[in-house]
Amino acid sequence: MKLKKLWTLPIVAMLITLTLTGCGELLDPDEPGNLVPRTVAEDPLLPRIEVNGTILHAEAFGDISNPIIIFLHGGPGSDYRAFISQIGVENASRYPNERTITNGGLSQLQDEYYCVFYDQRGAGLSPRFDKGVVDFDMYVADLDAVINHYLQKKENETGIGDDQVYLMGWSYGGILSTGYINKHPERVKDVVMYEPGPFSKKVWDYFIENSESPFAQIGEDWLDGYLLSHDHITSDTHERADYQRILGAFRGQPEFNQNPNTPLWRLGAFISNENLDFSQSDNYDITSNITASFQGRMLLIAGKLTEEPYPEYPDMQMSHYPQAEYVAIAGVGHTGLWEKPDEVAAVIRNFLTQ
Amino acid sequence: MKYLITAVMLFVVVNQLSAQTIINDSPTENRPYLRVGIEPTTMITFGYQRNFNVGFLNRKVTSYAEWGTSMYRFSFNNSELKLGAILLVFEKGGFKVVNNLNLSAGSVTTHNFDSKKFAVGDEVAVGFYKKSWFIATTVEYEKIYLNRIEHTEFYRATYYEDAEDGWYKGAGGMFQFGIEGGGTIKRKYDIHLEIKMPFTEKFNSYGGSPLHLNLGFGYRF
Repeated sequence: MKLKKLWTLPIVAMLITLTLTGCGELLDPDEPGNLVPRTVAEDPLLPRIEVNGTILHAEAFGDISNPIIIFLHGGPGSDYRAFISQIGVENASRYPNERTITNGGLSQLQDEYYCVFYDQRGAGLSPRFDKGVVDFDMYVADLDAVINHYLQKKENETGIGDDQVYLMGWSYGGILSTGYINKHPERVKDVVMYEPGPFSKKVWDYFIENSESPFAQIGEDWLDGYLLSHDHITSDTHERADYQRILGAFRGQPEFNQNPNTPLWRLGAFISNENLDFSQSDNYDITSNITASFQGRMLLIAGKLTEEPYPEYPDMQMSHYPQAEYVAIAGVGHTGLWEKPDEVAAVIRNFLTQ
Repeated sequence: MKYLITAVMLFVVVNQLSAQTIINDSPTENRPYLRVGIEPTTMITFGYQRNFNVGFLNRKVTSYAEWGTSMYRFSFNNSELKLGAILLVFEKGGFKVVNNLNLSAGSVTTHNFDSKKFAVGDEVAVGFYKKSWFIATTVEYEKIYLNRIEHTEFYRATYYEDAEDGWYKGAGGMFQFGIEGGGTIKRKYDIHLEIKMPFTEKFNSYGGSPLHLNLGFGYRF
């Protein structure tokens, strides 16, 4: 047996590979900016704040002497682009000076409120973090720091010493709002949520029971492309993982009736993989302190199309709050605040001025 | 020099259906085959194998070429071509170590981007091979060494307007660990089943289907 000759074969294969990859200038899939946008850590032109030991991608709109609303996006891992975009009108470039209007989407509330938007740690255009670094407590601490940052700014610029804000959370942002209120009930005047994620194990179980199996999507074009793309790109780095994850954005759960054209800047794959893990534990409940301690009101907004597969969901969620109201928006699902921002903004105005 | 050229051809010739290893002992020389399964999506694959002797190696080599496409989006745009060579590395009784080296070129279209990829893969199978059946464990590594990526208008409008189109150096690699087995009926008809668990090359979750499953059928002549 000529084993020595056998060992030449891998060497030849290696030479072929080196020859092919050595030809010409090749782009690097792991270099920020090639496949996915740079974050505030890499792009000095992006708006930002520095809080709680990190920088976050953030913007604020309106007169700071007005009441403050902090908007919390979904995901986890998504960003605030859909909050300030509006279907058919404005798609919110990541550079503010490239936008065609400055009051798109729910940022139209800036005529009565000081509207604050930020991308959560590891999400959107905020800097990336490796697996195992970020947890829910850190998200709550970040939100507390963002609130303090803007209340202090308000006091510095206007002399008004507010100690409360309004929160508006979408999907996972509703979970974050509730987790924050559970820990700091005195800091929030009222809270508005658009289709918040489950607050407790009981609601989570209901949600799972009424959701379609992922296997029901087999054969869908987006899923076929998503799966096949794994033979082309593997997700070991942040950039590749983000690039691959966004293939499933607003497509994976048909019962949510999401509009797949809803814009995003970046879907933070590493964050979206780990930050909801705590919600699947048997004793998951982020509302233990709310009924006794929260003096404010909660408004739950949902799309009628999402309400249909989960009819008991709104009541189950609202039962965790001492004062809660419910409004359904016709003709939309989970991305309804991007599709019908004028209608959603009107509902929010009406609730907050009651 | 001719040995070197032959060796290069062996590696440029291309896939991975390791049941073809069973044909290694076959007096027949040709086998077309069909494979269906999930790897990485629901795929159907058409292949052809041919045995030939390589003098300087003093043994028989099974070369193969196969083309697989998505079952739901049957097209060249969502397919992969593989060329490979299978070689017996070690043998003692029915126990064998078999190596399968391949090159592949694939294409995928998504709503965000179109990609062409070029990869090199190697699979080692260790198991028991009898005349009418075999069972083996497998370890496979595939390195993507080149991608051509072009973004769609949808991706630019909805997510990232400044995405770069062009040739990218390899976008990763993957391992697969699996078991496979197969049998031969009437010395002509082969059936083959394999199940594999994929990981990225850094042993992170693969992210797609957690298991790959294939069922293959072959005919010898």
